[in-house]
Amino acid sequence: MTSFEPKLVAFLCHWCTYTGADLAGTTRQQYPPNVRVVHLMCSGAIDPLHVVKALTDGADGVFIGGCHPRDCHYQTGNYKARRRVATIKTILSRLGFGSDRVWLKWISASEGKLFAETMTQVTEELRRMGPNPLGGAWHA
Amino acid sequence: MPETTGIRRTVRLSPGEGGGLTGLLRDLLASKKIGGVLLPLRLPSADGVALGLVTDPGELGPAELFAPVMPVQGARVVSSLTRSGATEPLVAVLKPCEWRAVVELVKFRQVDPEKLYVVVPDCAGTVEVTDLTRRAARGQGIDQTVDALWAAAEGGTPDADVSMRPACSLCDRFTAAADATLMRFGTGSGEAPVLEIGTGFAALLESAGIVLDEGTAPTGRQASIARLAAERARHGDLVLRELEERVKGPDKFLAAFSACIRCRNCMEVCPICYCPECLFRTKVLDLEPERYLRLAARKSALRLPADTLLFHVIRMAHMATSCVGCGVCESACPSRLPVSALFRMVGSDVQKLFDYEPGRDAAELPPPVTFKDHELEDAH
Repeated sequence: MTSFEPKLVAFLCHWCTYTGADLAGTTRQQYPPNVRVVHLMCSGAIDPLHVVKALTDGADGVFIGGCHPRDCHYQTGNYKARRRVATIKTILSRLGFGSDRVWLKWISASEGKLFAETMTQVTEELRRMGPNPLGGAWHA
Repeated sequence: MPETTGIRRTVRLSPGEGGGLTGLLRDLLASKKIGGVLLPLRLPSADGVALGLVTDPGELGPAELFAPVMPVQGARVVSSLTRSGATEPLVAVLKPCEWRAVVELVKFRQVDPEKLYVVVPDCAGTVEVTDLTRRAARGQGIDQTVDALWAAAEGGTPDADVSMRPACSLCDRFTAAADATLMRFGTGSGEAPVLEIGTGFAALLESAGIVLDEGTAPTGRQASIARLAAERARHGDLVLRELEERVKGPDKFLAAFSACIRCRNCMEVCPICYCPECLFRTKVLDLEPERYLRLAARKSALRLPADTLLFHVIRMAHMATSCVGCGVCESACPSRLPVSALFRMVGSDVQKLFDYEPGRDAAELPPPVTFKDHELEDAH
């Protein structure tokens, strides 16, 4: 029996987290290969649509990575992301759709090690949680 | 200008035929200080009510100030009358939930508050449009339905044939300050109607040369309101707890929503869903054929049209912070899905998250368009 390999979709902002992920790579930090990265210019470009569509299309978890507050390349994008993610997590939580499958973390361009550690942590949590029930629902 | 704060006075309207608020509106139109009145009017078939815009003071005869139905959300109508800038002052007679939606639409720049005066009569609730037509066919039409709703609201025995729309049965915000409030709670029969007015409306009356005697709010009003609000809040808690049981989790939610036919009526009638470029009206979610095939291969099948759950969840994510609980979504749903209670339940959560109350204050920015430097620290 093949063990469950979680599918993690990660929306990473260009200026911070995506670059931090790049740094993880160049400094050869090890982390599980379960993550599928979507490269955005800013975490503020996230719409709850992206998070929920990933979950209904079969992703087991969704990760959003952005710049630390006050460090957004576009000044305020990450503050908007914080509100949007809080909103969608509240909705998912009330409806029992697995709000704990959605993460928002601030990871800067210099935090390569933190990126790798976070990916490892999130993947392990998803492995424990098991497959996302929404992903298998053909009638969703 | 819609007011949500400020000094208010109570004035007495003349009683009887030709008097009351309708008489006042007639006098305002005759003074030419306003260009029109938007208010519920009895339809010629006498089995229904519709919002009508009246410019002639002599045409207010069919006015139904306490309309027992809400066939459209009045805020949408106010938006089409004022969105590109009002040309003349207008008075709109709206229900409390329509007023709250107007306040939200002012924030979204879909209603121009300049030259708009909103009068909100106390509301005992409404029935579905079809229920009224059915009752009218049996000679129990508008007047009898209004009486039954008010009797039930003020502690009398509810009429078993008059069932309120689900959203009304949970509503505990059935009065509103606005520019003026037409009071009815606590009013005995035969008592002259009383209007509570804000400074803007007072100025309008003064400019029209209309002088009204001071009045006092009916003595039983606060108690009547408090009693009904408590009853509705209790009922609301019960209904929302039952709903949560029914829809929590993917399996239950999808079962409860299996009858959704993707007509999107809920979105069409919702006053907050004003975006002409709504995501769900664009081709964004229309995929290339190969992607449908790939999705179908990943799951056991792919329901088409796809994204039913996505539609409801994302509509919530986009508008639930401004949901005013009017329930036209559920009234318009051909499958009678419990959308009004669902949005009320989820709306309440996201509104609490930001300490936001839709309709409370026109100067308060809706959560999606603003943020604080320090908040939601535990969100990640």
